[in-house]
Amino acid sequence: MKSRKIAILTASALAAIVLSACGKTTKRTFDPSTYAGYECDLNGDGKISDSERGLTWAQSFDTIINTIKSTSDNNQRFKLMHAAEDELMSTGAVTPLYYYTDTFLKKANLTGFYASPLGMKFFEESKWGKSTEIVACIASQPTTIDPHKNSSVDGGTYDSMMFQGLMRWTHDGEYGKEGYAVKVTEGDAKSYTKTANADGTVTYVFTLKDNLKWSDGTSYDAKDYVRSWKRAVNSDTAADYAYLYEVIKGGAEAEVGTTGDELSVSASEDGKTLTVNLVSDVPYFLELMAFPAFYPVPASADVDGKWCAQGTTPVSNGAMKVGAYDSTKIELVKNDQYVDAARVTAAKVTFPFSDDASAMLNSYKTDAYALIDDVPTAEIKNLKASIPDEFFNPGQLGTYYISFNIRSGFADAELDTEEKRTVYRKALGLMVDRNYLVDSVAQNGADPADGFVSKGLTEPDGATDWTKARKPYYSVDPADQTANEAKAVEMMKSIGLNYDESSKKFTNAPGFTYLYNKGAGHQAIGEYLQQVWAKYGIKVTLENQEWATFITTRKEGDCDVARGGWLCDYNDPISMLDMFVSNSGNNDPGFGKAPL
Amino acid sequence: MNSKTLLYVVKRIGMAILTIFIVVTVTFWFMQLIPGGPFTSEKSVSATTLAALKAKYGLDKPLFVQYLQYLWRTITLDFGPSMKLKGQNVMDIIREGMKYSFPLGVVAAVLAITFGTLLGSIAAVFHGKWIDRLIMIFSTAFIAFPSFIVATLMVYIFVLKLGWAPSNYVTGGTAAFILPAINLSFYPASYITRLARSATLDSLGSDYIITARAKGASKTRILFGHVLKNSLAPTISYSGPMFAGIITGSLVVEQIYSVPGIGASFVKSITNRDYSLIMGTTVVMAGLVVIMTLISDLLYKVVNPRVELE
Repeated sequence: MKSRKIAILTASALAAIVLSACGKTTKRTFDPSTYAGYECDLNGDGKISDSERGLTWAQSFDTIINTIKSTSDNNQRFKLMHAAEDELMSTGAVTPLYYYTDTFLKKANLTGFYASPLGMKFFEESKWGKSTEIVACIASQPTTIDPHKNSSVDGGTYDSMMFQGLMRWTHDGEYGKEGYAVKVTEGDAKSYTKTANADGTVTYVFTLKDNLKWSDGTSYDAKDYVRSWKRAVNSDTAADYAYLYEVIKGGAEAEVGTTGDELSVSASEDGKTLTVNLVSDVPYFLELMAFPAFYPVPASADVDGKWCAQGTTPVSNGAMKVGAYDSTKIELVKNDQYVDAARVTAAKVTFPFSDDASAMLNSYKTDAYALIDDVPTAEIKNLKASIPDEFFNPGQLGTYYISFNIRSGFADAELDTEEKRTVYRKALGLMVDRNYLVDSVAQNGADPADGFVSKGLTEPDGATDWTKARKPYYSVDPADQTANEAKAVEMMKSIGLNYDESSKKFTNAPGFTYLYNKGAGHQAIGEYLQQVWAKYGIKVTLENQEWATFITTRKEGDCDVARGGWLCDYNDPISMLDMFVSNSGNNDPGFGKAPL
Repeated sequence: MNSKTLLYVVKRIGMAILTIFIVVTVTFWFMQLIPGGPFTSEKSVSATTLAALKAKYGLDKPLFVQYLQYLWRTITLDFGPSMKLKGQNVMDIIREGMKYSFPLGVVAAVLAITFGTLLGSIAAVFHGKWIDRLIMIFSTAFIAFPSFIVATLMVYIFVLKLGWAPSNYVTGGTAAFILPAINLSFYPASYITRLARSATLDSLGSDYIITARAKGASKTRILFGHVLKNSLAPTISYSGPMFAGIITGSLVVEQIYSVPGIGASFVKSITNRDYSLIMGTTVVMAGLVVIMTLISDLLYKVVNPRVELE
C-alpha cells in the first residue's frame, strides 16, 4: 500500500512538473520569426498591394530598411522611411509618449553660444559678459574624451571644441533669438566635390585647407585623416561608433578587422586631398564629417585611450585645446595653431564635473556658472516662470516610449492571436493622456509624441518637420483625449474582452508587469500608467530595477512591458528605425526574433 | 613594544590578510551574479566591438582565471585599467578621489573627536543641568537627521542666502570644503559626545576619583588628569572604524557640495559594473577598516594599560 502511495505521489509530482512546463511553453508559442501578419509599402508608392501583405518581419521591415540604406534618391528614401514607421506603428508594440527635450539654463549675458542638432554645445565663439573666460557645467566626468571612443553627448561637446573634422557646425544669429540657425560648413576641408558613380556608389573628394597644424605646432594632412579613420574603425580600438563607418565602402569589413585597411579612403601623394568612396548616397554624410567619430587624432593616439586620459594634455586640432584635465574639471584654452583661429573669442572654457542637478543649480544661482545642462525636475516649472529668458528647452532628436515585448506572452491566455494582441496594445496606448503626462507627471516641458520618429528631424527640403509630413498615428490634441479613450474601450470590446458597463471596467483584460529603471521621473511615469490602465480594470504591476540590470532584463526579453528611450546618433530618421530590424541588439520588442 | 604586543600585532596582521582575502573572494563571485556587465549600455554595441572589448579587459577568460588574476592584483595593489573610464588605472582613480576625501575625512574626524569629547565631558560634569540637556538634545538630533537634510539646509543658508561659502570647488577653491567637513563631522561628533558623556559619568563615580577628591585634588586636575584619559577610551575604539567610514562613505555629502571625492566611485563602480574599480574600491575600503581598527585597538591599550591584548 505504502509503495503504491509513493508511486502515485511521484507520478502526480512528475505530471505537475510536466504540466507546468507545458504551461510555460503554451504561454510562449508565438513565434515572431515566422509570424506573417505584417504589411509594408515596400516600394514607397503610398499603396499596399497584395504582394506587400502577409509578410514576416524579415520580409517586410528588414527588407525596407536595407532598401533605404542602398537608395540614393533622397525623396524616395524618405517615402520608404515613412512606410517603415507606418509598419512599426501598426504593431502597437512601440508606444511613443513624448519627444525628448534638452533642458538647460543659460545666463542672458553668455553670447556667441550655439548647439548642434544632436545636442553638442559650442562655446569657442562665446563671451560671458565682457569676460572671455567661461564656466559651464554639462555633466559628470565623461568615460573618455577620445573622440573615436566617446559615445556621450557631453564627451562630444568637449571633443567638438578640441577637435575639428572635415566639416564643422556653425551658426547664424544669437541662440534663442529670431534668426538663429545652425548648419554644417567646411572645417578642415577647403572645398569638396561629390560624384555619383554608375554603380550607385558615391565618391567625395575633399581638398584640405593649407597650414593645418596640431596644437603642438606640427603639421597634418589628408594622410593623417586616413590613419585616424583606420584607427577609429578597427576592432582593436573597439569604438562604440565604429558602425558609423559602414556608410563608407569596406567599412563593415574594416569594423571586424584589426587594421582598418579595408576602408575605402585614400590621401593624395601630396596630402592635399582625401578621397572617400561611399556605398550609396548618404544624405547625412557631411554632418557625419562634423561628428567626433570622424575627427583626426594625432599619431600618439593609442588604442586604449591613455593619450587623452585624465591628467594629460592631449594634442588636438580644434578651436580649443586641453589646458588642464582632472577628476574635477576639464579646462579648454584657446588653440593658437587652429586653422580658423580668427573666429575664436573664448580664451578659456572651464567645465566642472557634476551629476547632481541641484548642486549645479546652486552654482548657477550664485553666478559661478554661465550655463548648466541639467535642471532638477521639481524646479522646472518655477524656473520657467521666474527666469524665462534663461530657461531653454529645445527638442532633442529622440523619443521616450513604452516597449511591449511581443515574445513575453502576457496576453496569450486571453487573446489567442497576434492580431488581437496588436489591437490590445494599441488600445493601451490610446488610453494614455500624453499632455497630462508631460505637464503634470514628467513635468519636463516635452512635446507629446504622435509617432515614433522624433520631431526635429526634417524632410529632404530641409524645412518641413518629419512629424508634419505625415498624419499623426493618433491625436495628441487634449480635446481628443476623451474620444481616444472611448475608442480604446471599443477596440478592446471588439477583440472579445468583457466590459462591465456599470463599473466601466474590463473584467478579463490581461494584466502585465511594467518595468522601468530607478529614477524619480521613470517611476512617476510608471505610476501614472498604472493608474490610467487600472481605471479600465487592467492590473499592472510595477517593477523597478537598477540601470544595468534593467538594460539587461529588457534586452534579454525577460519582461512584459518596459520603458524605452532612444536618441538619434545622427540627424536622419534611419537612426531611429534601423534599431528594430530582426537581428538588432536594440530590438527590445523582439520583432522577427525566435521565441524565448 | 613587548613581545606579547608584537605577537598580537603579527596575529592581527594575519587576520587582516585573511579578511581581505575573504572580501576579495566574496566580492568577485557576487559581482558575477549581478546582471549586466561593464559594456552594457542603452544602445548595444556591435558583436564585434563587444568581443574586442571583452578580450581587451580579459573578460573572455574563464572566471576562475579572472579570479586568480584579481587575487594577484590585490597582492600587487595594481587593479589594472578601469573598464569604464577609458585609459585610466583603478589605482589612479582611487588616488585622485582620496586627494579630496582623505583631507576632508581627517578634518571631519578631528572636529568630531575634539568637539565630541569636549561636549561629552561638559555634559557629564553638568549632569542633569540645562547645559547637559541642551547638548543631549543636539547630539540626538544630529544622530537622527539624515546628513542630506543638514547638508541641503547648510547650502541654502551659507551658500545661497548668506553667500559665505563658495558653491563648488572648481570655481571656489579649498574654501568649498569647509561646509562639507563640518557637515561630515556632525554625526560622529554627536555619537562621540554621547560616548564621552557616559564614560565620563562612569569615571566620575569611580573609586579612584573619589579618592582623588578626598585627597583634595582640584576639580580641574581631576577632570584633565584622571577623568578625561579614561573617558577617551570608548571614543578611541569608535574612531578607527569611524574614520574609515567618513572617508569612504560620504557620497551624499560629497554630491550635495560637489566634492570630487572617492564616495562617488564606490557607487558608480557598481552601477557601471566596472569590475576592476569595484575590486579596487572594495579592497581599499576593507584595508582601511582593518588598518584603522588595528590602530585604534593599539591606542586603546596605550590609554588603558589594564586591557590585555589577545
